[in-house]
Amino acid sequence: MTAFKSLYRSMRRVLPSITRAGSWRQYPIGLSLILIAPLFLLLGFGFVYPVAQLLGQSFFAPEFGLGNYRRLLETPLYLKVLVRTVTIAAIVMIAALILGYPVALAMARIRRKLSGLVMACVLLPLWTSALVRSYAWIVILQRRGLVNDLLLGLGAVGEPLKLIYTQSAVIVAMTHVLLPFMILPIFGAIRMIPPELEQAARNLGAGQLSVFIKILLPLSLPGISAGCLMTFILALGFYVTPALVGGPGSLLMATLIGQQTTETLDWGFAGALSTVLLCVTLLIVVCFRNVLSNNRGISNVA
Amino acid sequence: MKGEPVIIEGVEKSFAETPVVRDVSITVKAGEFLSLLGPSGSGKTTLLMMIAGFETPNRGRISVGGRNITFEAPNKRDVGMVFQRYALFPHMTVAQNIAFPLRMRRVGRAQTRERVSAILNMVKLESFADRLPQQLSGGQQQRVAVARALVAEPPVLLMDEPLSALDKKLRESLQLEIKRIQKRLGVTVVYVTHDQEEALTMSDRVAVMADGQLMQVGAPVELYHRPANVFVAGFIGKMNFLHGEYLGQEGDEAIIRLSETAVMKCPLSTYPIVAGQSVTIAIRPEDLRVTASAVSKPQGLRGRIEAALFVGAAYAVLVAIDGRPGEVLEARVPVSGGSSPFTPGDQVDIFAEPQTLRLFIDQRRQAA
Repeated sequence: MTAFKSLYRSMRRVLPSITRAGSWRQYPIGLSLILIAPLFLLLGFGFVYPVAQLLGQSFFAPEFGLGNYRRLLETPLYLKVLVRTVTIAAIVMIAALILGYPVALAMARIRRKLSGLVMACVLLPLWTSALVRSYAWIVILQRRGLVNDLLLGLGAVGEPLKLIYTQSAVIVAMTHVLLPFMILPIFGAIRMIPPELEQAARNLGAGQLSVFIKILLPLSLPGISAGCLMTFILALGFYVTPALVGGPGSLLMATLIGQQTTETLDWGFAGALSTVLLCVTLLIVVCFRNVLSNNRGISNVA
Repeated sequence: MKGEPVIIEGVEKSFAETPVVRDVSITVKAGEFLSLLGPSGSGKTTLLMMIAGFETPNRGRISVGGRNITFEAPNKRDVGMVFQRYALFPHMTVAQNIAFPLRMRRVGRAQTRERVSAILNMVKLESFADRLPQQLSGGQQQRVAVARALVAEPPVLLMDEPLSALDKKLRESLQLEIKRIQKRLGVTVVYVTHDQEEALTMSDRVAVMADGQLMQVGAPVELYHRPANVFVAGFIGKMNFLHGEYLGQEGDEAIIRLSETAVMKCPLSTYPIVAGQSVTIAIRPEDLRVTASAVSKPQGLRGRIEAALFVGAAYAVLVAIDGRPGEVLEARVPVSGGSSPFTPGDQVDIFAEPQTLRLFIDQRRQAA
């Protein structure tokens, strides 16, 4: 009993320092555990277990060993797919940043009514499925689609261009689909910057460009990093859009994994591919975090 | 650094058809400390924003040191500003914040370091150069904001209620410090505040604004003793108002009837006045004399003590006036002995020296 008491006492001492809000002091520990339990069970059975199963199979199917990984590393095609996936994800991230930042800035700084309208335009695509949006790109980019019809009509080209089922089509469509994930965090970050800071900078002699570079950009970095991380990770594992608008020349990891599980039924190799993709993603996230935490401006504002 | 005059001529500003600043003209002399004082919504902040360049007047002209800056970009005006919530850049250290205006003006590295440390020394924050703004207290942050606004040596410094977020004690010590810095640098200051005490203690002159209009500009003593209208009289310091009727003139004094039995004499103002006109008399609490009514004077103002409140150096005595229900005058009675000179319910006589009174003709709505 005394041992239990001292344990309880030490927990009360330690826990508030772990949970900074100190909410443990308001709710009994037992209740907190009960409240967390459903989510843990769902995550455990619905996510951790199947993923672990898949990863495990990469070592055991068809037989125990590193055969699946050797196959992945020894086949140039698979390595090429991996490199292409990372490259395309990076390009999509940068494109979304360049396209998204001005929109986020405008949304944060225009009048409330107008900003609601822009917000609706940004969010509307999120409410439609990625499938629909990807098909829309097929309509636009196909052989006799909008773009080709326009170019032909203007006489700019003699015959339809091959726009769909190319790497560029994948990049364009993915950028479009993932744009809201870039805009929203940046919008949130810019909205947190008090407008007086811009006024103060102007008053102290800064032109519009200096205000942007010296004040807005550094203070919106938390939003930029969140948006970049989100679009990049989503792009790494994106399945629907590349599968629909991409061709054989623009095969990505997610599509490749899909093929292994549904067409060749090679679960072991699919597991190996997933493991590698997961490791690459984790590696990049860790790098991202390290770079950012070295930047004093961000850790202070965020 | 030398201050430059700020001249505001006939400036008007409306937001969506609602006039916020109406035909305001003020000349701030070089090196002067001028406060814009008024209740919220009086247009004082809008006027300041027009000097800073964040708003553009619909009409009128603003110039600094003879330079017309009415439509100049804010970064080209060379007018320093201290914001209400300090507006320090959270991602820069104190030294970087203060160096910002120098960097924008392409001042050399060595000179920047020198000037930053000199001004940090002046605001007594030398040891905080490498701290971030959020690691400072409110008062320290405000001093950094002042240093940052002054480091590039602008001839004019604008301050938008810079002390309103601080507690009373800190506010008072910072008032003195700002005043000391201003004296030393000779910079022209335009200071916006809604705190009349602050305006009176700090300013060379105070411009009282209400409803977008300039009510009176003058030295604090002048505003206190010779308010130009009822608004200024009521806004600056404590003031009692008595409403009455103008009866006529006796020498150079006006006779005002306050009730059936009471009349009061006060200096006649210059404006034309006719018998029967309704007027308002303004009396400072410290100018009211209250005595226990022993001898009944025929034409004096009489009342009954409602309360006598100890306020430190004096008693604030509230007197309900006989024959004028609901009207209570406040008087200051110096503390003598220790106990209150009056108890509630006492009958008293009230009078005041005529020269301490101010007479105002009641304005009809259409006349205003």
